[in-house]
Amino acid sequence: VQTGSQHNQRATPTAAEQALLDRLRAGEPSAFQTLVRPHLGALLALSRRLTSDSHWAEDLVQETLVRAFAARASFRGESSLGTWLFRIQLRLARNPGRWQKPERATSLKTTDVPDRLAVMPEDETLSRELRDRLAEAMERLTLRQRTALHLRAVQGLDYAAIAEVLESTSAAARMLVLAARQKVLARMGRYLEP
Amino acid sequence: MSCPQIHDVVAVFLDGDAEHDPHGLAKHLAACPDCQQALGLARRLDAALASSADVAVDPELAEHLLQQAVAPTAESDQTDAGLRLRPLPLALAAAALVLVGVGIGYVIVADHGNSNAAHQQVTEKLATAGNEPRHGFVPLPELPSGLDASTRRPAPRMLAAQPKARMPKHLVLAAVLRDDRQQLLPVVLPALAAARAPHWHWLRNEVDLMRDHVREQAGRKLLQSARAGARQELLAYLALGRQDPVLERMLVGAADDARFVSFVRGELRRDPEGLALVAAARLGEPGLDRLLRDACRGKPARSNRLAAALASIERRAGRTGLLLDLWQSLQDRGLVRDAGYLAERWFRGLPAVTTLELATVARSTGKASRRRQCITALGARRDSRALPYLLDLIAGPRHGDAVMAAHALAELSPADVDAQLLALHRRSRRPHLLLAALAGMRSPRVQARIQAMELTAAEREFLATGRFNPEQFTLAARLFRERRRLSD
Repeated sequence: VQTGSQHNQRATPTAAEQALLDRLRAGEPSAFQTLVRPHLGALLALSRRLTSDSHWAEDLVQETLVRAFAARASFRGESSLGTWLFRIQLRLARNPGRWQKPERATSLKTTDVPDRLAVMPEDETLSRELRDRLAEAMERLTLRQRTALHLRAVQGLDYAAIAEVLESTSAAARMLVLAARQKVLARMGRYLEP
Repeated sequence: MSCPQIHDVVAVFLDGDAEHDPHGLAKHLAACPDCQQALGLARRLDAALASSADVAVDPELAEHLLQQAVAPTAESDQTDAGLRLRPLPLALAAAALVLVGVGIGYVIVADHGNSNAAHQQVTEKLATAGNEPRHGFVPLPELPSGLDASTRRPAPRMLAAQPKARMPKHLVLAAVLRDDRQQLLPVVLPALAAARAPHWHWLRNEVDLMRDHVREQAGRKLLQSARAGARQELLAYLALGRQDPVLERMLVGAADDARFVSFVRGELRRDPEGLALVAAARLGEPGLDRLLRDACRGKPARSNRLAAALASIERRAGRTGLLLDLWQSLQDRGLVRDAGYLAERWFRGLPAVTTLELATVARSTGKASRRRQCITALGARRDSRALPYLLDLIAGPRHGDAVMAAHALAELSPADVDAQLLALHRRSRRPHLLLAALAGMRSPRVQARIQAMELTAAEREFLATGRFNPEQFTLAARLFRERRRLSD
């Protein structure tokens, strides 16, 4: 089981990874699964941040993986696999119409039952009020700001990697992180005071 | 925090490489409390973000996601257009349950080998649910084991099958609502909205049983869906949801959505008896208020429902006027037999701001009937915050209002009466009213204090009369005026 914060960014693939990547490009599903599995936690964490809804978050991750597998041949390994997946995820999040079924948004009468809603492990590590405020403050950011701050603070990506995800420059990524942090702090400064 | 170097400090020490510090920011940081505080806050924010995102991935979900990602290779590999979202989680294809009700029975088709027993129980539950009484306060059925958290799919499918199955849907819905799965709420709400009025309050109780975080997520989803066009569900929730921060946030969000407000207006015009009446009352939009006044004018049942809808939420300012208008419209038609009862029913549960609103109207309006409504309502609320306003009215220039205010004062809790108030009657412009109001409280503590006071024989005699009502207050006022005139 992976967690969101355990994700590590690797710029250059190891030999084993390279072999898996070759098998992936050759169309081997098991290679894709092996490569992607360590990134699931990070993908889900970002997805939740982007959608603010645990079910659409899972849908977004699923769609990200589907698209990634479909486009596996285009992955040249210039960026890390995680960055590449984040980029796909962000593109999808920007255009929910591309992956959300219309009836999902307009009618909830046939929605699925979530499986483990009651499981909220973060309750133990972060007070509920703080978490709610944080979620609220993050939701008020633009999608790019939210992504940038999340990738920096949670995933620990450097600005070059964040820029790759955002399809931008390092300087722009840095400014986005700064602006996002400033906005969130302005909203919840007193909740963070010791 | 006004230091111009704050951003540089945060950038270098949190986001950058602190070892490369060509501008000597480390020295600045050591001496600058603003920068230290800003850096501390930024660090705590990052830590909080990391902590809030530290969510374990369910191994089963991980497997499912990975399986689904590679599943379509055979038919639509490498094509973007061919990709479709598959419903999540499809591991549950194993647990598909289809309910077909055709009058005499139900057939459940399940392809999950291990859940046959659970499905059988659900079938039995649903089959027997039809025998439950349909009206009154029906005991809730036990949650069928097939609907508990270990079962993935059948509940919404059963719900979707309700109209066909001709079951007493309130029973099954209520059982399902006990579960914690928030997506059931949007599934259930349209059914609630379509339910007959006698079931509303009963079903609302079931909504109330849902846990906070379920409502929170459901609330967000409903707002999101309303913006996409699914407004009926949001309307139902606004009408049925209990007062909590989630509902308050949703009311604000919904009121900001002009298309939703317009939708509520249309629904209210179409069916003034429906849930739109309650939702519109809670929204508190001026345009909707005009419609509500028209819809409820001279109609006690609708007025009562509207008042009840307001009683459970933190309303926006100005809603007291709406209730007073409705009260007046009923009174004008001779439909109010007991104003005290109406006031208690309509105003007692309202939030604290109502006391201030009532007192303001009572002091500012020139209409005697409106002032008396307000004073009656102030008494009916039994809110100690009304005490200074009532004392003002007792000492005020209008005798009729003073009598009403004394009566209202007697309704307040004796616990809020202190020695200071008891002593006040000597200095009061209408001491007898104040004294009678205190005596009317029937509290041993207050009575003991009154006994300890230095009262004239006439006052003691007056207090000995026992029960006080507005007529007796008026009579007492006349007697005391007379006594004062004679003594002067």
